[in-house]
Amino acid sequence: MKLTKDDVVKLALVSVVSAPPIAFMTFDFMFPNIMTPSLQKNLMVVFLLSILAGMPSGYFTRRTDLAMVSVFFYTAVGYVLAVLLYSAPYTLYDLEQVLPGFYYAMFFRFTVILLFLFILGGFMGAVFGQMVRDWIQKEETQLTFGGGLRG
Amino acid sequence: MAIIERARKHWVTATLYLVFSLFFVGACLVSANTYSAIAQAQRDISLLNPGFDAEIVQKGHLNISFNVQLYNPSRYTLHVYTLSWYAKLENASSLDAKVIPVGEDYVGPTQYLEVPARTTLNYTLWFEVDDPATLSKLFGFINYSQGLGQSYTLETLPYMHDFSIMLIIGEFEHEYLREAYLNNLVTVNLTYSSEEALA
Repeated sequence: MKLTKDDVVKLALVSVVSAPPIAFMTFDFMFPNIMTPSLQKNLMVVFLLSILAGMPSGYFTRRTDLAMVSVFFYTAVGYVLAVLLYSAPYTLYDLEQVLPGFYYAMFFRFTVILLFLFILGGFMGAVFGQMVRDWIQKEETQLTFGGGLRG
Repeated sequence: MAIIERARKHWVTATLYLVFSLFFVGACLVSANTYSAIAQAQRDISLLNPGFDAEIVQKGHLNISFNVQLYNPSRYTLHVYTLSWYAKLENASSLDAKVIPVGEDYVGPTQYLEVPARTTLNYTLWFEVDDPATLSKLFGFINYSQGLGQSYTLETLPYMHDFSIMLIIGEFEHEYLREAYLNNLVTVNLTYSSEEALA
């Protein structure tokens, strides 16, 4: 896959801007009782939000392969962000973790389904995003040239 | 750059995208702050200045009491789920009654006791021992100790006090059956034992 400088910037931007929903959903999946707001571990809502989070990747990226790769990137960044959020009491306030040993659970036990939903939803969102962009372009073209022909 | 040009051209979509992302940034920050506040509360909520007393009251009964301060520096109201106190006398010389129960008190979740945020609350628990059987056991202990060269009175007997309290932080959900760790996250367990304090 050949990447231009513009593609790399686009990947980086999408990774940063799309990562917060992933981070939030991961963090919320761990602690649904203290989150504001909370999805209450509703996997359908997680999946729909994943589609929504993936749409900009497709909308702003013409190349489908690049849009797909960006889904992996922002999921990874979001996941790392969630781990940082979990570490906040330790890193910011010098406190012990409330639930020691929870990193293990976060990485290996609870997240297989979550990651699957993020990636699958992201792919679907990217494809929807491209469809929406194409549809808007088609409308714009019709408005620009269609009116002229009729007139 | 092409990406900026593209974002400028599709400014409505780009703005919606940013708002969507910023909403979750805000939610992450608020939630991490809540999580940190809970971790701080777990560390800082504590029992202070435990004290106990025993005195003779009317009709020769024994009044045994225990007091302790509950320090809550957190921003959350604490809900007392259970509170229990036991006072006893250990009687190693007896074969059948190694522990003489002297007093007890219990508060369950249905009493809805609360500890307001950023306060220190005093708990005083007392029990009047008027049961002749218990009093005769205590006198028996005193007499037996005198034979060993130790002079006690009802007021100076080495009573042991065990106090424990389970608190729920704030209004967070905590009655999860499937994922008990969510209960642990917002539950504070504090205990005091005069036996351990002496050791």
